[in-house]
Amino acid sequence: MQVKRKLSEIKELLQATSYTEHNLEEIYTETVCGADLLSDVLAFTKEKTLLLSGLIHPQVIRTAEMLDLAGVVFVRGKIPSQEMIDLAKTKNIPILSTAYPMFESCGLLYKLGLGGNFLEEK
Amino acid sequence: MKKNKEQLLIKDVMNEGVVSVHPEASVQEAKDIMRSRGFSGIPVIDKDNCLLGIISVADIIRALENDALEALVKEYMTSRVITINANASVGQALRLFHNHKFGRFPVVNNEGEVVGIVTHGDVIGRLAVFLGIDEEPLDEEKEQEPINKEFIPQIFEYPIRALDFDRTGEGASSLKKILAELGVSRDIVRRSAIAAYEAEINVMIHAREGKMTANISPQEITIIVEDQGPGIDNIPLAMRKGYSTAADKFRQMGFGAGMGLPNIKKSADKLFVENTCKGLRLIIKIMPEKIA
Repeated sequence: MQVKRKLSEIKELLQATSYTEHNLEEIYTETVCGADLLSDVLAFTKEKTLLLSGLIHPQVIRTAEMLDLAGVVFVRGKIPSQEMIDLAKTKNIPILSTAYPMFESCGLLYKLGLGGNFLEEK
Repeated sequence: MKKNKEQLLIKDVMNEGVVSVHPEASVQEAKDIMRSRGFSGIPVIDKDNCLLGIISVADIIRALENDALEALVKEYMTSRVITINANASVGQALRLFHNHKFGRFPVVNNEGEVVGIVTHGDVIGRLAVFLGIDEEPLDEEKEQEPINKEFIPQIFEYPIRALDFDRTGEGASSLKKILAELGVSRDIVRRSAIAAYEAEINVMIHAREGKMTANISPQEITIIVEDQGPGIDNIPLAMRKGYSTAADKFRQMGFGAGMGLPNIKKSADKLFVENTCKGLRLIIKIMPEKIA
């Protein structure tokens, strides 16, 4: 049921901008997590998940690093600072930004066939 | 031919990563290491890399008979240890194995420091390769990649400056990198990183300063995070999911949801939370062998 999608496809669908030099054609994800509560992300997210978040500070990138996430998409047009971009490059985490708000971003990715951690576990 | 064999030295056949036990460890811990690794004896080495003895299955049986698994390794180890020099030939090692009943010898350098361990099997195996008589068994599945590679135990220290919010997590990040480089399995690296990061965030939220120390060995990763903060009044309450005393500014960052300690507990094999005279101490133990 679940599909693997390239981050490049996701970038196109969300009309997102990429801020690191990763080749998004080569990075895949099959699960997505939309959250602003990093505590929950840290406790419940499996590796290679794509994180969508409205939070914009360096700890979002560190959270992605510890969990080996596929990348982070900042929603509702939030633009990462240069400091965050530098950190993401150092920690090898792709970061993107989309104008879509959280709900729409999640909806578009769900329609694309991507799932979450919770349903997959069931 | 004989001359060539003599040239094959112990340092060429020994195992460089020494699995050892500290003299102050309990016999129980030594037993656990030996059982999980399938060893019949391990060297007892102190923090200065000084070889004090060997603890073997026979020693452990003696402790078991006395119902003394909690006793210290140094009380039950065999202190008279026969070592072999790294520059000795395999021929000399074979003679040593023949003359003594031991299955393994610690290998020492000219300064007397333990640099490896050599077993009868290591010597025979290398000799077989040397003589060209080693053959792969037919139709037998190859052994799986080891879950955890052998390496020499390491200590990692990182001072946590809690007021520098943007740098919080750098300690966990460094630890994660070190573990990955040592060849620790992905799952263990990830669990260690999550636990260390949550602990670092706790220091950021509740204290001004702290320190992370990690004792890393192939059998166990112990992460100790000590801070100079107010400590915890009610530890069982703090372990409950959703309980938090974090200030609003940390909640706005997405933390302080009362998931930190429970998540550390979930990521670790063992967690000890204790108040100290200065603040709080978390002792997080992650044991790679447990998932093997």
